[in-house]
Amino acid sequence: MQYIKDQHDESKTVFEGYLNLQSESYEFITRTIAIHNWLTEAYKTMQENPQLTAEELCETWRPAFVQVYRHLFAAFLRPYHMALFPFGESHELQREFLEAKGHADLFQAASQLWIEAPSAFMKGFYGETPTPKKKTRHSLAVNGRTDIDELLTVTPFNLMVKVADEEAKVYLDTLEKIFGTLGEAEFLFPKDMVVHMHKVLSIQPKIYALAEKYESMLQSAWEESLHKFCHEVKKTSEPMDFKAFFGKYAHLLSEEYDRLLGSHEFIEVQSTFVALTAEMTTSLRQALEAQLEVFPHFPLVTVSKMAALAKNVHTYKRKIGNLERRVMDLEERLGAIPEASASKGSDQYARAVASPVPGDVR
Amino acid sequence: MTTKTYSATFTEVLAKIAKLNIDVWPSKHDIVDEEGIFRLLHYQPVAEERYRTPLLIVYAFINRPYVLDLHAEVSVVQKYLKAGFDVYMIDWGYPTSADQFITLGDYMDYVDRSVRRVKRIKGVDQVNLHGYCLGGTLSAAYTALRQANVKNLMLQAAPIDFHTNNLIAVWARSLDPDKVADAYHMAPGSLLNMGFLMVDPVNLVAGKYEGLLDLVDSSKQMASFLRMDRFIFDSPAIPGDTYREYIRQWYHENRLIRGEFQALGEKVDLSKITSPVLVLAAQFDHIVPPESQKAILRFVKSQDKDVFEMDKGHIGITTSRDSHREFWPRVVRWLEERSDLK
Repeated sequence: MQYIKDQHDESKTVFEGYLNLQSESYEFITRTIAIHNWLTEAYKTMQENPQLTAEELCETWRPAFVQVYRHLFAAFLRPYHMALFPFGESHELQREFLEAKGHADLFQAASQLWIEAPSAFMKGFYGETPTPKKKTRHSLAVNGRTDIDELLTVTPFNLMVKVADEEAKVYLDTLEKIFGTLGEAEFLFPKDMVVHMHKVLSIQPKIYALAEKYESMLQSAWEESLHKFCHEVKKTSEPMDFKAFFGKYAHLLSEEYDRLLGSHEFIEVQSTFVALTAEMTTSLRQALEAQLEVFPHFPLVTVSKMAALAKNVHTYKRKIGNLERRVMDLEERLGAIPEASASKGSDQYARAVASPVPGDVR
Repeated sequence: MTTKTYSATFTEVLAKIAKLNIDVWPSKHDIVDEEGIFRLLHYQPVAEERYRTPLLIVYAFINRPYVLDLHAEVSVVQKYLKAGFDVYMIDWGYPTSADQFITLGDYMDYVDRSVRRVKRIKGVDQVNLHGYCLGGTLSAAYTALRQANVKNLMLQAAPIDFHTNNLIAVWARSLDPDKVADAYHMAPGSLLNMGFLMVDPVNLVAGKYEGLLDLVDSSKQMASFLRMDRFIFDSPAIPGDTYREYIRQWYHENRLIRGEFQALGEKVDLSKITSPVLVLAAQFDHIVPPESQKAILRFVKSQDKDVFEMDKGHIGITTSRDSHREFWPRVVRWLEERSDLK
């Protein structure tokens, strides 16, 4: 019982600490403590095994330094993982993330709902009895007597599958899960949706390739720094305390990353990734908005419609602001500006604060 | 180290953090103007007002302005108030997607509106401007357009020349801002933060927080550290249209120093600045390198211009105790020497 109480108290303390921090600070403090402890373990290994050569030290240290790498870059790699999710679950980059469960389960549950809800709705709308789509896709016999199975082979999504790059096949498994149960109901989807989804699919493989390249560049810099570090510590004859050990590693790691982060290749990968992720996000939103257009009775306003409204409001605000600025200019020229206020709380102060200035639409 | 030890260290650090007071923005202030998300703040005096010309502080539209008033012991605002200046500050707020069409021109309009508001409240012809980071860029552009309204101009870690070789600038020039703005309508604060940290992940993550572990025995130092962290991650998004212009017109095209940046209906010509100018340069600034900060001096026509340098970074120049011992008192003296008594 005492153990359970201690655990509870400890969690309460940690949670109170969390509440007192920005979430990023909490994450970085947590990860830094992990990094600190993994490095401490490596330090002890070095102290306890002075006979190890540099190469042996590298091998012995590797598991600890893999953890250092993981914690150091987890926050930076997150956008890459999020951009790839939930497509291509077997992808190497996502393996660790998926194994972590938690977020992955939640996301999969949510996406499953997203998949099933419109599918069921469409079937009810279309009056079709749900039937699973055939696993094997046939080529269409254009003879004017196409039966329903053959018709399914030319549904927009099926066609999209057929024209997709070989590279994209891994993602199409996910597509199959999403649209596979819709059958003929697919014809109800607007063309815009298909077009934008096609864009999403064509961008996905490129994002994969970039994410893989990005991570492999980060990893190779880390590998290089670890290699250098092993040799450096073996060369050092002076006894080294943990602080010096940490400092030396941080210095070598930093040096390697400075070189990498400023390289043309890295910048190219990073900026292309940002651009493609943004493009994919735009296309996905446009696809979903097009899908919503099929259901005019849904009381939902799309982001694009809200943006158009916000643009109108902003334009009017700017016009009012310009007009008020002209009034203010005239007032200033006519010397109609109130006298200096004596102090806060005085009538003059109140009048000056309340008097309009350009853009004041109150 | 075993799991047990890890857990003990972790709990110990978090237990300490749970008890700390890391509140920020201690100086009392009132809101004297509002337009949408923008607000003009007026600080309540802490000493008798000695100088005729009020001071308007213009902070960047990235992060929050309270960095200049992070804590009573490291408050630049308090330094000005104690010297007897009447202090105003613009707060750019937290834009949402409803604000995505706000442009750099709108920020400049609000600087103008604030200057006029302060002039009207105080019944004076001029204000002193203290611009920090991108707020300094806005202040320099504003002074060039409305020199008659500005008595003294102080630019702290303000980017003027955007064509520098620091990583942030190089990365910004490689970005396509339209794609980001089209997709997200805003440049999310978290995205910007990751960019700033990724410039030096080893030192800004592992190195920095390893330093925090050394402070566990000092509540005061730990609280200072975490107040700064609170500020760093309190990062509003940038409106999409502002982001497009900021990246394209300033980083890609360097329009400000080429005399091609437009605001308040005119082209900004930095050579029209004639008032005293003080550049407050952070020597170890990895966001805005010193050469970018000092570039303003090549353009202004001011006879009275100077640079005060401090061996700190972009934020440390404001919040470090070292800076508050000598650097900020010196800055306040510079302004006092150029201000008329009431």
